[in-house]
Amino acid sequence: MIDSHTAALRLRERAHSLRSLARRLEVLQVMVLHRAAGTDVWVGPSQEHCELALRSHRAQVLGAVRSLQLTARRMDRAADELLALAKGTAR
Amino acid sequence: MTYLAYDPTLLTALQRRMRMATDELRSLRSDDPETAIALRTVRMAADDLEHHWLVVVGGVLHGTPLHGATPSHDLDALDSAPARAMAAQRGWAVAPDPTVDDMMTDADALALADRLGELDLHEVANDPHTVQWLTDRWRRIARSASLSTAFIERCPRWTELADLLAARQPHDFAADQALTALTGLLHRAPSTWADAVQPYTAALLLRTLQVGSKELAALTDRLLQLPRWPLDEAPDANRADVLLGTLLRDPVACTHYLELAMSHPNTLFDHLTDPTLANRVVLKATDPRFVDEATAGRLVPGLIRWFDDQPERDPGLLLVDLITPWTVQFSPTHHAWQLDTDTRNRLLGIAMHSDGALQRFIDNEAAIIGAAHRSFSSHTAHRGELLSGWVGLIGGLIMNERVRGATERRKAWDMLCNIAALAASLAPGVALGVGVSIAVMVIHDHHGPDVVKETHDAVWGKSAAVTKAAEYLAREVHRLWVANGRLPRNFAEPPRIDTTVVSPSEQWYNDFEDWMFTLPGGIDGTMANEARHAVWAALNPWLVGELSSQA
Repeated sequence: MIDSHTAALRLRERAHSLRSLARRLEVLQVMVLHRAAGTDVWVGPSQEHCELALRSHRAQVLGAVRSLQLTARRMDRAADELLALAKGTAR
Repeated sequence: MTYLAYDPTLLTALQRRMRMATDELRSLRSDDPETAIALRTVRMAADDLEHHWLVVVGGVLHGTPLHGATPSHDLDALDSAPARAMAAQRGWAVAPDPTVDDMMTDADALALADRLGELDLHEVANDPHTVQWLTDRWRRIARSASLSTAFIERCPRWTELADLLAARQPHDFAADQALTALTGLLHRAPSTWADAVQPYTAALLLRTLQVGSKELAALTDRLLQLPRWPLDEAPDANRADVLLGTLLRDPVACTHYLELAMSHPNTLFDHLTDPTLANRVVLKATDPRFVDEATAGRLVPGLIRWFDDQPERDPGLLLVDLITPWTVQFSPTHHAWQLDTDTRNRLLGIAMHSDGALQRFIDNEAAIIGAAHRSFSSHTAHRGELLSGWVGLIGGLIMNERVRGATERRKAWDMLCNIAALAASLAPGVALGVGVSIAVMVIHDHHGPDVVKETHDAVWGKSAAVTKAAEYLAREVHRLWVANGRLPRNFAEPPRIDTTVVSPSEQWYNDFEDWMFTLPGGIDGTMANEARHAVWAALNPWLVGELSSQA
């Protein structure tokens, strides 16, 4: 069984890794792809659907980013609690 | 037949970017189980790009154009007006639209509306294949404004289905695509549709609905005031998160929204899963790039007052960031916001009250100076009066007993020097040729206060700030005169500010007068008059007297 300090460190590492992934998602090309699919490139029903679909991808990925950030925050809080607990026990 | 027109070069570029985006999406990896949902979202986006949109774009590019590369068609015969116009005006290529191989007829659309009225919509929403099929049909219906309206009117249960699809959010890609397609039917519908679905569903639909800034703001305000519904229990992003995320894409809408929300700001702050969204909306709504001074004058003081009336709320550093671009409007010599001295001091006191606020204010130096520079550049009348009032205000705020650490005091002093330099560079009637650039304005000043030992109050900071500006001006006058030969190279420089005294302005001004005696022509000569004229833009005998009496 791992001690609280090690568990807290692991949680922090995981939070860090989640935030890194969130940052990578934020700068993906799919986040700006809709700008390259406007009516300055093509016009017609396919264009409208394509632009809408690309905006939808962006919204979905943004949702994933937010979700990762929130999970990372929850992990950090859990790590804080573990460390506080460990300190209390040590006393 | 329905056609599309395209610029072959740009569409090829889009195809290339789609491939790169797909590869990038496919390259993402993580072993952490908490990333599974995010990676599934990513994979679905990659699948949609690769298996649908790259096929569509490839089909257009690799088919034989009807016009352009091999003109073989009478353009007037095309039934698609936009395609015809682009082909005629820009010489774009024209091809049959690959996604419109079987147009939805009015009868088909209305039959679908009737059919949806009879089905178990839970089953529909829970079957991904049916949802995808429906998405395709909705996209086709959306091509016709009249058909869209007819469908929505004929199928009142669309709201029920929309709520069921929203309930599958945020991780069901097919449901999300269906909601996006449904948005296409609502573009021309009156905004009352928002009352027919759950607020969370309305928030999701608003993400891709094309509405004006005012309407988006009004809908957001209305939806945020509604009580909680079951769908608001979404763990990741509730109605408020989704709405504010959409709002943030439109700065003008942020401002309109905040104006509406000022009578009930709690609706902005109370329900978010991600509380930083509210702060971002507030800061965007009051960003001087998007909002005029008069509107900001209603929003900024109003929000500070509201937080003051809510002692149980901790605004964190929001209020400091809020005043950062508007410090000029808080100066005693600026009257656009009609704040009397007591009100101004009280509002600034509230904004700077929280832990870390002063430090944040100092850290915001570049934004404060940048905003002030823009503001002063647009004010030619009374600029001198405005400058001295503002410099004194900032000096008083940043050089006081609350800045205790040596590093912080050093930073505060550097900021004060930069502010002094900005004021000096903008002082009216001072044709010094001072090429002060905002980006490189730090004066490497080795005559700052002993940052460890000194503890000063706000009046000292005010005095030091205006004196620093005056010193800067005097030094520029001296530099110019040496450069153009009016003074010899070895002529003594004007005095430096003494930061160890109680009233730096009084001490420095006395030393400055002594220095003017040494100029060619003496204290009543032409050069002394020119130096006096330059320096008075920042510090004059009357201000010295006022500051000394307060010290």
